[in-house]
Amino acid sequence: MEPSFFVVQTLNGLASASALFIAACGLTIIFGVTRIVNFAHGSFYMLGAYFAVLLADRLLGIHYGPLMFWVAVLLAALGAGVLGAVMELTLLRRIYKAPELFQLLATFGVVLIVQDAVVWLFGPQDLLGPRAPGLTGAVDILGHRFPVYELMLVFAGPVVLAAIWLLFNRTRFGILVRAATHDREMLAALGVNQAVLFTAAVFLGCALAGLAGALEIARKPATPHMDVNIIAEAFVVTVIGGMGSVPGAFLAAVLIGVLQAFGILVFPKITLVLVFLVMAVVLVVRPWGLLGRPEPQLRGEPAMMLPLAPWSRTASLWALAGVAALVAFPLIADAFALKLVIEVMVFALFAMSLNLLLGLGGVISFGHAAWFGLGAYGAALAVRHLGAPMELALLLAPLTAGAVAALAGAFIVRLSGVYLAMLTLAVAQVVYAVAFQWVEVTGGDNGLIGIWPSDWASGRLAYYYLTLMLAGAGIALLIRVSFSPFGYALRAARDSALRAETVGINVRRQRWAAFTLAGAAAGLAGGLYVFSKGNIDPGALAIPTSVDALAMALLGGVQTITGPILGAAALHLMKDFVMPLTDYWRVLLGLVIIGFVLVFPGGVVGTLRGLAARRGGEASR
Amino acid sequence: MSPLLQVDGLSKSFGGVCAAHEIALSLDAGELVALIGPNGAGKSTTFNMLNGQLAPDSGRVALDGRDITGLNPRAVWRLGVGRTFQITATFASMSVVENVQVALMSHAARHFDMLSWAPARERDAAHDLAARVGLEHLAARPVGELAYGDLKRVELALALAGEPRLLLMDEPTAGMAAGERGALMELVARIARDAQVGVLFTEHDMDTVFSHADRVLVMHQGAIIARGAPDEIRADDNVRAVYLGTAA
Ligand SMILES: Nc1ncnc2c1ncn2[C@@H]1O[C@H](COP(=O)(O)OP(=O)(O)O)[C@@H](O)[C@H]1O
Ligand SMILES: [Mg+2]
Repeated sequence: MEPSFFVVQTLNGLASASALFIAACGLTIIFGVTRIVNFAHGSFYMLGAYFAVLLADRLLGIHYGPLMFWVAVLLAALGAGVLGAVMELTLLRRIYKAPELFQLLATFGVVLIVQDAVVWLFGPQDLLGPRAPGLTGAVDILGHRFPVYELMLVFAGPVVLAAIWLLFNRTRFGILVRAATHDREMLAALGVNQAVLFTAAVFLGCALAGLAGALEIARKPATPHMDVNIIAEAFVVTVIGGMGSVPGAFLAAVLIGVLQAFGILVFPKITLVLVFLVMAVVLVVRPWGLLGRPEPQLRGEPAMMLPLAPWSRTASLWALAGVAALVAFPLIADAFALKLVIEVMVFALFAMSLNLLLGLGGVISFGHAAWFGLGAYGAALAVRHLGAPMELALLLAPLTAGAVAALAGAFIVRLSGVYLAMLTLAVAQVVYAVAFQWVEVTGGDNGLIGIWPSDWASGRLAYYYLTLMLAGAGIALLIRVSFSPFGYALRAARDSALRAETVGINVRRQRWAAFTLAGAAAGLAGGLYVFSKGNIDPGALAIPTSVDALAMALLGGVQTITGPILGAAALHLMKDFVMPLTDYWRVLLGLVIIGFVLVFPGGVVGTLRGLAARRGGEASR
Repeated sequence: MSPLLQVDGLSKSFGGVCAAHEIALSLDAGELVALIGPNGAGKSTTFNMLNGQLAPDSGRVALDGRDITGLNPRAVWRLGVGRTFQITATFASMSVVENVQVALMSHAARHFDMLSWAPARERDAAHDLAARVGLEHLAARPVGELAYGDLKRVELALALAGEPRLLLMDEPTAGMAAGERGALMELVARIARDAQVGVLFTEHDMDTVFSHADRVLVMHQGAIIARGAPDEIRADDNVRAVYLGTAA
C-alpha cells in the first residue's frame, strides 16, 4: 500500500469515526446518568438529519451562505434534544426503576413510533440535503483529492470531545453529570434536583445524536432506515469504550472508524462482521469496555425473581385441553386460519426458548433472532446447496443453531446485565450481516426462495400437524426442563449466583447449557418457519425479530409457564390483523409495548402478585 | 494425623489496607472454634479465603492435610466445606424445601439432569434437613418471605446439604433474639459432636461465644492477637482492651 493512500484512508476512517463518536457519546452520557440504554438514540439521529435537510433548504433559500447552513445544523440538533427531553418527561422517568429489559423494550417502542412518524411526516423517499456552502470542494493531500467536508469532520469529533470535556470539568452541570455517572451516593448527598439533571442529560444526549445526524446530510441523504444502522454501531462504540465513558467512546469510535476504512479494502464483504467481532473480542478481554468501570452493583431484577408457580393438576388439564383443541382445530378452520395457527405455534416455541433464558436464567438475551434465523437459514441452505430433504433440514435447523449458540454462548455467559445483552445483540448482528452480505450463498437481501416441505407434508393440513408435533414436542421439552434439576439449578443461579457457587453449581456452565438449549429450540422454530413460508430473508434475523420474541415473552409474563405461548398468540394475531389495515402498524406495536411497560412495570405477573399481596395485607389488618 | 483444617500465613490486602495478616489456625473434627473481633477486624475476609471466595495474597489452607488454597468455592464445597454468609444468600424465589433440594441435587451431581421431575427429587431428605434446623413449619414458604433469623437457618440447612466435614459460619445468629441464638448454637454444637464436624464461627454476642466455643481466636486489625480457651480469653488483658472493653 502506498504511504499516501494509507494517509488518505486513515483520514477517511477518522471522518467516519467523528460522526460515530458524536452519535455514540450522547448514548453513553444518557446511560451514565440515567442507567438507561436508549434504544431510540438512532431515532434522534435520524430526526436530526431530517430536520437539518428541511431547515437547511429553507434557510439557504433565504440567504445562501455557510452561516445559514450551520444555523440549520444547530437548530436541528436542538430540535432532537427537545424531543429527547419530551421522551424523558413522558416515558423514561417512569421507568428508571424498572428492569433493564423493560427499559430497552420501552425505548424500542419509541424507535417504532419515530420510524412511522418520519415516513408520515417526510415521506418514504430519501431526502437529499444541500451541500455545505464553503465546504464543497476538495483539497490535495499527498496527491489525492480529499473532500473539504470530510476534512472538517475529522476535526469535528475532537472538537465535540473537547467541548464535552470543558462542559464536564468547568460547569456545575457537568460535574453533576460525572457524579451521577460514577458516584450515585455523592450525588444524593449533594442534594441535587435529580429530575432536572436527568432531563438535561437526556436533552444533551439526544441533541448530540441530532447533531451527528445533521452533520451527515452533506454526505448522504436522510432515509427512514438510518436509525437502525447507526444504533447498532453506536451500541458497539459505547460498549467497546465502556458504558458511561465519553473518552472511551472516542477511542472506540476511532478504532472502529479506522478499522472499517481499512477493513473495506481487505474484506469488502465482511465489514459489518468485523465491527461486531471487534466488540465481542473486547468484551471477552475487558468485560467493561476499554475505559469503563465494573458496574458498581448488579441490579437485581425483582420482577423476574418471582416464584415459579408449581405445575398443578389443573395445569396438566389445561395443557391437555389445549393440545386437544389444536388437534381438532383443522375440523373448523379454513386454510388461512391454519396458516395463522402454524405461525403462532412456531412463535410460541421461539418465545418459550427465549423465556428459558429470560425467566429461568435471568439472562437478558437481546439477540434471540440469531438462533431463529440460523435455524431457518441452516434448513434453507441445506435444501438449496446440499439438496437435503425437509426431514434432514428440520434436523439440521436446531443442530446448526444450537452449535453456534454453544460457541457464542461460551463467551456471552461470562458477562452479565447490560453488557451481556449488548453482546447477544452484537452476535445477532454478526449473523445478520453474514446473511445480508454473503450474497452468493445466502441470496443477500433477497434471501432464499422455494424452500418447500417434502411431498407428504406439502399440504397445509399435513404441515399443520407436523408443526403441532414438533413445536409441541419442543415446548413440552422446555416445560419439562424448567421443572428438572437443571432448571432448578438455573433458577437458583439467577436468584443468587453467590449461593449457587457455594453449593457447587457452576453458574456459567448452567447458563451456557441453557443458552445452547434455547438456541437449538429457537433454531427448530426457525426451521419450521422457513418451510411454512417457502422462503427466508435477513429480516428474520434482524433486531425487530428479537424484539418480537421479547415482547411475546413479556406480554404473557416471564414467570408463568404458559405466558410466552399466550404472548406469542396475542402479538402474532394482532400483527396479522392490524398490519393489512394500516401502513402505520409500527406505531401501534410501539404504543402497545410502551403501554405494557408503563402499566405493568413489574411484568404482568409481578404486578398482579403485587396487587394480590397488597389486598392480602389490607385484609389481614 | 493432620488436623481437619490447617491454615498458615494467610494474608490479604485490599489496595493498601491489610485485611488479614499472616493468619494461622488449626481446627479438629468435632471442635467448635469462635473467631471474634470488632467489625472490620478481617473475619469475613478470612472466611472468604478459606472457602475459595477470595484468593489469598499468600499463605496456605489445608483440609485433612490436602492443600486446597486457590480452589474455587464449588470445589471446596464438594470437598466437604459448608459455608453460611454474614449477609444471607438464598434462592429467593424458592421455598425452604426447594432451596435445600437444589443443594442436595447439586451434591448428588444431578444439576445437569434435564429430564427428571425436580419437585419429587430429594424431597424427603430436604424435609428432614429443614426439620433438623427447625424450619419444618415453614418448609413450603418462599424464603423471600422469611424473617431474618429463619433465613439464617436456611443457610445452615444449605451448608449441611453437602454433608460437610467443616462448617464455616459467619455470624450465624445475627438478627436473632437471645433465646433463639442459644438454641441455634446448641443445634450446631450437637451436629458438630454427632457427625464429628469441625465448626469455625464468628459471633458478636459474648455469652454465646463463651458458652459454646471450645476455643476462641481473637482478631484485631487483620491479625490474630490472642487464642485460647474461653476462660483464658475472658481474662486476657490485651483482649479486654481492644475488644471486650468496647463491648462491655
Ligand atoms: N472487597 C473488599 N474490598 C476492599 N476492602 C475490603 C473488601 N472486603 C473487606 N474489606 C476491608 O477489609 C477489612 C476487613 O473486613 P471484614 O473481613 O469484612 O471484617 P469483619 O468481617 O471482621 O467485620 C475492612 O477494613 C474492610 O473494609
Ligand atoms: Mg464480617
